[in-house]
Amino acid sequence: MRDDAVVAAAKRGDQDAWRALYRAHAGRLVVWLETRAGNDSAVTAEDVAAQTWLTAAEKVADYEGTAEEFGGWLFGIARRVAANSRRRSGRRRTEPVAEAPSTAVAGPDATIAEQDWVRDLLAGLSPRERDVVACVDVVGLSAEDAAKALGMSQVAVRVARHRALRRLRSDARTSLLATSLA
Amino acid sequence: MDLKVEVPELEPSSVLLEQLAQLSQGSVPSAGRGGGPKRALMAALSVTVIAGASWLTGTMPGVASPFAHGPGHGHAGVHAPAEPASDGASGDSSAAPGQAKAHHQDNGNHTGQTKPHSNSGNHTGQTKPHTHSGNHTGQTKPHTDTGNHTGQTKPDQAGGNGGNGGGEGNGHHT
Repeated sequence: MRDDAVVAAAKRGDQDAWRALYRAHAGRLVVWLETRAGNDSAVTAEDVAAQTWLTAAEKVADYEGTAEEFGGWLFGIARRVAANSRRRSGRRRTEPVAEAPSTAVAGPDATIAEQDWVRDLLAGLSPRERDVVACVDVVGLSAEDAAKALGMSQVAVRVARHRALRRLRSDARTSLLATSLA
Repeated sequence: MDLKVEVPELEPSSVLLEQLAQLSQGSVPSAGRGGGPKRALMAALSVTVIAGASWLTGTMPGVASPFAHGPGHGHAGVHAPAEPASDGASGDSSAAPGQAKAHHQDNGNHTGQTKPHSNSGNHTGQTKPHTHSGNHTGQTKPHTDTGNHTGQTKPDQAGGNGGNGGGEGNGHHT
């Protein structure tokens, strides 16, 4: 597979190329990381995303593909960075402090309410299904890029997504029925 | 069910962009990429070559195996005559200490003898039928001789004149 012009320029260290890649993928990377955020308040999705971008720049010579497919590769790096962060958190045994805000504070660009709704919805899924649905349905990666990002086959991605959506529909019907009965 | 979230377009800071550009300029392809299958292939080739060479060495004619005994490995100097006896049947009175050839005729004493031969000496642990006229210990197969025997298990026809340990063949069997 050959690099397109943006990726080739990014490999040469061109700042404009990196800006284009960042604009295309940084937002959905943060949203995806927030859907799978752990319980360590010391490490936010933005922290993981920033580390992911630096790691991607270090290893960009290993990447071959287009700027659009760059997302799958980038999400794969993010998954590993998040896993390392979780391992470190487990060793550090972080305890939440009383002064920390219990709810997220909306920033100028974030659609916090929407994200909270999605996060609550995905909470009933298994981590694997949650990752797949968040990649494909929430932030819009292709099945191929999601498979690359999650280290799964495309078939496994489709199967997990199918099961997850079926469960979500079932849960939504149940909650709707409960609401109407109440 | 529409789960799509409106993704915000984030703008990178100038510091981050500078870092990304610097890091990407120093990025080199990792050496380990694609090396796994190559290494596995090389290992498989090495095993195949070694196994093939071993097999060829084992099947090649003319190469002696250290585990196969050739016909010339009968006695390996285990002759230890009890005494310099003279056998009556053969009339040969000389023992053969340290004699190492198979299929020979002698009249000395033998220990651990395994190949057939004809002689007229004393034997210990003899296993194959033969004809001689000496004294025997541990003899198991029928044969015809005229010596004295110890530990004989099957009937034989002994003339009794083959010579005993002292060189006198008197036909005594034990």
